Amino acid sequence: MVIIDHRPIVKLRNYEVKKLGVNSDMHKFANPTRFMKIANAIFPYISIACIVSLVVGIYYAIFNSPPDYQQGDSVRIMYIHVPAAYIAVMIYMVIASASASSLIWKHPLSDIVARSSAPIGAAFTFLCLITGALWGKPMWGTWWVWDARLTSMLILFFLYMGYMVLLNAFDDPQRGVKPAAILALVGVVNIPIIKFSVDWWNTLHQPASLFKMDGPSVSPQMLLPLLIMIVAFTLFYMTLLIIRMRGEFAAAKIRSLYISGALK
Amino acid sequence: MNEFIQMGGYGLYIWPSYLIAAIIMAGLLIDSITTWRRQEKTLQNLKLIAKSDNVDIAKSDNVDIAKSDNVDIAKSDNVDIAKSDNVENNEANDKIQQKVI
Repeated sequence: MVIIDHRPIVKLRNYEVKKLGVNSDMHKFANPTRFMKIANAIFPYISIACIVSLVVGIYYAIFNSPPDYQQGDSVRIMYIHVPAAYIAVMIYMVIASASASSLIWKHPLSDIVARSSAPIGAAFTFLCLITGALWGKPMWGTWWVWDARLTSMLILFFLYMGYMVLLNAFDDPQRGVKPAAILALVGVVNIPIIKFSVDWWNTLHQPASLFKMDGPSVSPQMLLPLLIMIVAFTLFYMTLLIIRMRGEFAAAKIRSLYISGALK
Repeated sequence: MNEFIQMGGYGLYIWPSYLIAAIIMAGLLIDSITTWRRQEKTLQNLKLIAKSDNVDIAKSDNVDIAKSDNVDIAKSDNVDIAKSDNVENNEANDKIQQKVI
């Protein structure tokens, strides 16, 4: 069984605790507590909606959508690949916004949202890259090319990794928050590059057909399962986020118990 | 049936995609739930320790925590917490514990 020791190496005096902005008591959790109350109230609805939309989405994706006129059945990979890419980018934007609010207002809630989101975003970026390779092999004849879309997506994956490493690089978890937040904000430059890479550079990757100014250019029979899967992945992210935030809150309370001196 | 699995010749690429998606999503879910449960359990145990220390200090001057050691902590898997539990009478304890609990 893993044993976590959150005790700080240097024992802090009370005024130092206050200076660090670490909770010397629970009152700073008041607002996050209210947030978690709401989150827990909607949790059952979100998780059930997630399961339903996943089942319906996969049913449509595999059984009840037509093969593409050019790509044949391989287009069914799209129903995983595109939602994974969408959620990977969306989670990065959540982390970047939370990081901005963490740097400006030092709100503990935003730290916890960012910290809880990062592994989910990294996993979906990885899923996007893998399904992309599995789709690229039959369509392009190669698993991987170093073109702008694929490379910028790989950079997104490295940004997630760097963010998590930086966040957990210090014995005192609070110390990693600021450098990691700055990295997350710098990495936002990558997001428009991902989005517009298919327009700016020559690439094997197909251009946008969903998030376009003049509306999606996908056939409705494919659009429906794709949208359902995007909704399902978003709900899945929200479900995981609430569960992970519960864990992070417990960890934060453990830390404040140690720091407050209530325990040796 | 065979035709369905072959997916027009693309089955070799389609099914692994869905399988990897399932593995990654299940992995995320399991990791999130176990992490949350473990932290929650540790927190409850620590609260018990803090509480028992507090009661002890309030009741008597000669603190003997070994006696009042909570049984359920010894039972649980946080062995090092149970071990490291011989709290010397810390001055700060009196003040802060009332806040924490």
